[in-house]
Amino acid sequence: MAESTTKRRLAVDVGGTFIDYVLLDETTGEVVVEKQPATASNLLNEFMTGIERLPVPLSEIELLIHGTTVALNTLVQLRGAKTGLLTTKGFRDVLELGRGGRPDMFDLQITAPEPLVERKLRREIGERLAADGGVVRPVDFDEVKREVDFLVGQGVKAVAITFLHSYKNPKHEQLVAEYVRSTYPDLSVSVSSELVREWREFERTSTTVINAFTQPHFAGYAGAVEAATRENGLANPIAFLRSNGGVMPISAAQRRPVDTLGSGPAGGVVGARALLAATPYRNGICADVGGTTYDVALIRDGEVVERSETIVEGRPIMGSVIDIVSVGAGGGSIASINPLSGTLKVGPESAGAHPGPACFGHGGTEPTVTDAQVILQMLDPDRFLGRRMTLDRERAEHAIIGALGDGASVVEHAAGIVAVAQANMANAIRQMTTQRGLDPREFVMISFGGGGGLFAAGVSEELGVRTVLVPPAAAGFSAWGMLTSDYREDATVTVSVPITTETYPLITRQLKELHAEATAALGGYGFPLDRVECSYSAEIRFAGQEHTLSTPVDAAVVEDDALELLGELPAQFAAQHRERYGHGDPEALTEVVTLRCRAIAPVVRPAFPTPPTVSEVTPVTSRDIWFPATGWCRDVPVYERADLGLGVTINGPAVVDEWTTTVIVPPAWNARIDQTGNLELTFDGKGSVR
Amino acid sequence: MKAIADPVKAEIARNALVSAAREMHDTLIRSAYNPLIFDVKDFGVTILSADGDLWADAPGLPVFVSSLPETVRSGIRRWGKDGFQEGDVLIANCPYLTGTHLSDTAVYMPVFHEGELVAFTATMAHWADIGGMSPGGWTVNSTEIYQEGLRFTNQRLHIAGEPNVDLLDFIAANVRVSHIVMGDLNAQIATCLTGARRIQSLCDRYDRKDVTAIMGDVIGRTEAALRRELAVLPDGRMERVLELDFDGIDRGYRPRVAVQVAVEGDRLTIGFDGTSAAAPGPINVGSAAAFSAVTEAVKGILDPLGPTNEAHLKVIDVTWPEERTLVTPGQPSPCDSYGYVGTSLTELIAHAMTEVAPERGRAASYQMVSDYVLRTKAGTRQFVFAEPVMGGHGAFEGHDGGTFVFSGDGDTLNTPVEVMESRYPLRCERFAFNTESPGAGEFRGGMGVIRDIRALEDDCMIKTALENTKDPLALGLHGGAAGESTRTVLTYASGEAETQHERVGDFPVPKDTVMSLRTGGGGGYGDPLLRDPARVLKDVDNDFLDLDGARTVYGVHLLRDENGELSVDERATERERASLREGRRP
Repeated sequence: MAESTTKRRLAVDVGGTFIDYVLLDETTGEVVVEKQPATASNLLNEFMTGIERLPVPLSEIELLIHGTTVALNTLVQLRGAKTGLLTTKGFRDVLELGRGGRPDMFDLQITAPEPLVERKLRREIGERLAADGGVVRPVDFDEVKREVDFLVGQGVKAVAITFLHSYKNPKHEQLVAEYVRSTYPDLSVSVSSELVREWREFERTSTTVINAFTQPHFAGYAGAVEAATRENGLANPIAFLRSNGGVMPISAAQRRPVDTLGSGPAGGVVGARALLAATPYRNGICADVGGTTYDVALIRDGEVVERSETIVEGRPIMGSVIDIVSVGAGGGSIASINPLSGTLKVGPESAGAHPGPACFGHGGTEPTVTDAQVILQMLDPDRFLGRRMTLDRERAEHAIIGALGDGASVVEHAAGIVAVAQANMANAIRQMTTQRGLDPREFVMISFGGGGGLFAAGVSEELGVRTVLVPPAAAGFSAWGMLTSDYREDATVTVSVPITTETYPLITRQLKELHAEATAALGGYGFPLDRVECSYSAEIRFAGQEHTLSTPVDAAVVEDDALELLGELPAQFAAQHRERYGHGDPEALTEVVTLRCRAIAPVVRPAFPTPPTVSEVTPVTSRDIWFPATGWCRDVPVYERADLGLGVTINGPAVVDEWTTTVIVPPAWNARIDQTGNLELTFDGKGSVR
Repeated sequence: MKAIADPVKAEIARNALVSAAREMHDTLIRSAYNPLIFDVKDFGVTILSADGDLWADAPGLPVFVSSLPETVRSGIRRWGKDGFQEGDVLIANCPYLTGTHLSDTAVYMPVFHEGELVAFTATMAHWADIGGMSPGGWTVNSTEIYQEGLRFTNQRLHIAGEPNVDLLDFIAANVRVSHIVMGDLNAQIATCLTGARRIQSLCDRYDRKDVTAIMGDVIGRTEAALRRELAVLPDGRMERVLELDFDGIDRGYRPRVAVQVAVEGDRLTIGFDGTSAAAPGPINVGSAAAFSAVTEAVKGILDPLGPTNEAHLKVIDVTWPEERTLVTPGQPSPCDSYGYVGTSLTELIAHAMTEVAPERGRAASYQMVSDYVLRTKAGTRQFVFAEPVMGGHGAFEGHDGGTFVFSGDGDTLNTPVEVMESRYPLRCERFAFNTESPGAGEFRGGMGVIRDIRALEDDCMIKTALENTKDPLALGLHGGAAGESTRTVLTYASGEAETQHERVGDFPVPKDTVMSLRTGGGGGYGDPLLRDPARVLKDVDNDFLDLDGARTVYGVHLLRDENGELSVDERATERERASLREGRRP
């Protein structure tokens, strides 16, 4: 450990165009932000160049957390390793067959994604387990040897192993994996039971194959970053952000890169959770606004809402991840008239960074949401990105009239574009809330990402949300959020048994095994077990149903052998079911399908510096802005966020500017700085928002 | 509120209704009890106007696209628009109203805003049982609708918000597995309520008259756009005819589906001249579902990805036969296995329309098929395992056909082997491509699958749904070959095997019999002799085709070196293709 008096933590978030660095002083909560352009071909050098510009050397940094989309890019761009699959005799086609669903039900011309492992490299092994895990046919090792040799002869660099029912009994997979690892130590080996212990063979095979496909590339990248940072004085292994919002050390990440696939938007969500914990609020809607997408996640009762499966380009991945709904709505979203319905469509097509919105003057000719915001003067063409860029209002106007015609004024068109974009954003939030029986009015919105402040109040008003929090440096909030991630391990297993007194011992035994598995992993990273906190949950359904609800299980069942507490699960579950679906018989037989243990080794939360108190604040400029409720408002004051502090409240309409983000405070809203430095917007209109 | 251009309000209202329909969809699959709903997605959810016009739907099965509007309209005819009260929930499943079979039960609800009827929310879902002679429905040999189960014709399940206990008790007493059926019924009611709440909040935001006016406008514009699409197509009159194997009852009856498609200017007319009289057996399809099957093909050609609304129905003119036929049955014609004719209609019409829209369609797909393994004997652990098994889609320009996609159906998922084996005394021994199934072509048809299931215990029976084994539905296009049809191979414990080319119902299989269902492939597109030899090589390399097939079907000579690597012998291929072309001459 470095000999520094203060502990420092560094987050490095590698995105498509920039690398963001956030350096945190754990004791003061003080933050230093740095940025470095990113190009795929020279990533490691650029990574280190940015590090060199930080005010402290790596030797004074205790923990480096790295967020990377390397594994995701490897998958999406199909640049992974040549991969082979070993699977149960009779089932090599499972990976390519999939499950047969197609949401575009009228599409006559269906095409499926190409399998990551072509049929020739999917090899069958004589072995079979029954549904209860019993051995129907032992592993035929002559066949294993022959098939592995064949794959090596074909030049595969990675091998995935998935046998039927391995979630119940991993023995066959383990035996074959041991053979492959000892015979061909250079091969990357991914084993389904080491990644997920849940049933459904297609989804589990897909997860294992994706891990195998991305592993060599990811491990190479991670190893190079590790070597370079250690050489430059970093004392501890680097940690990687996971899709579930936790972090894992490089040793684990190199084995299971599939766990990093959804980590891109995770930093902001765990950051929002930490931020909310310092406020009186318990329920939050996280809204991350980029140029192309609007990402929504939920925090309920202080915890991030998760789901158990992700689909990337038609390929499913099992495992707990933050539940994020992403819709194609952002500053770059393109507006057009839908020829079929005659209605105004905004997104999901995006002008992206190149050519970008028409007003950027980089050759974009289609009208975007940003162009509309320039027309409505929500954005000041001369103060964009801290004056680093000037926007061209004339080009924006031209693009809008060109695409939408002169049936209405350019201002009416622009107002329409913003209204549709906001409605799309509100629908994404409804999908996360009302669609699951939750009332958005019981949530506050945490808005971040460069474009967040432009939409936050407008979208909130549409949903009846009355409070919005905009953290400082909202554009780089994701990297700050990574600093609040805990080391975390989830262990799950499919059991599929009824909940009756006869099954209590089985359920308890399984939970204890999961506890041992999850804590052992954290112990392996060097955490003392007394620092590890565990929680338990069960996926439960009525006997005969398919879909489950996640119900918390009292830790006393495992820790104090209080088996009888399991008797409360059915009623708890039935109550949840009634809340969500309006019916649920507490007497009906229930089944537990999946058990889960989550072990957490918490990191120290960053402190929040107390904002200064100010007695008054004067606007730096003013401009006319168009609002849906009022039309043009004259001379709307514009404040610099840095001038704000405790003790003053700004009444809307107003604008608060920071160098990377603009926050609109519409009429009937006000804004103030809260105790932890967030800009808090409050709707003070009378009665319900709408 | 400052006036903003109308297309904005319209987009917001329309998106709100689509998202409300998706919310209904999620509510249904997450709270249903029956795998035909939560996995197979054998259901439809829609939002309709106060007149029963389709406003929005969500992914399920397209066969309900016009069934639900027709059903709600039949309810309006029965009770009158002022005959509904807030909180009413209605039920209908009569094939002569709803179009499909009794198992597909429509549950719908009038939606009121400030006391005025503004819309309907509706679901139609396949129940686990509906009473009737065959457990789980899909009867293969009924001769009258009365044998097929309970029939509802717009009765009220709830009256003004109160459950109609008389009727609910009556239903529970007349179906097998009543706890599952009543669970699904509750899920359907919850689904309708979910949609109703969202419509009410939309009406809070916009005036309810505006919502109706906006959707009327959207439908009008969509219809105009569809007519523009039609006008772009060359005029043409096409027809297709298909013989079916058997109606399940009468060996002397020859079931025949004939369709005529006429494109003239911006009008599209469908006729059924030459279609057989109503069948004595249960393969008739009610006209509301026949119309869905037509709509499915036409939307697939004109606007496959756009949100569905009433315009997609209105753009089609149908000349219905005056007499009672396979597509216009009346009481008491049985309809329980309506799907064969339904699938045939969709595939034949889409295939016919490729004559005027060659780049939009595809070759035809396999005829639908499903299997059941069940045990109903008293004293045993009873079970019914049912699953549709997907097959191959037809090929199209530039692409081999889709593999393992439900034909004529929608977002249907199969049952994972691990789940099946955990629940039933069955073991799946193979789940693989049926490489013999696709029709050859420059682009070949998609493949069906082989699914081998062993009965591990005594007293099991099987039911299979085979059709079009003699006159395959999977027609090729532009010289592509037809796909193979589905068959079942039973292998008994003795090793003796039996191939079935016809469907069976409640067919006993002794312990350790392996039922191998081999589903059909899609039709090919273009002349097989024009297939890129590189594609042929790849198919051989991946064991989709053997060297002999490469030569005799595609005229491609492949060489295999000592390392097993394949290469194309180009000169031999040229010679082979020339001689095969020569051999084709009369």
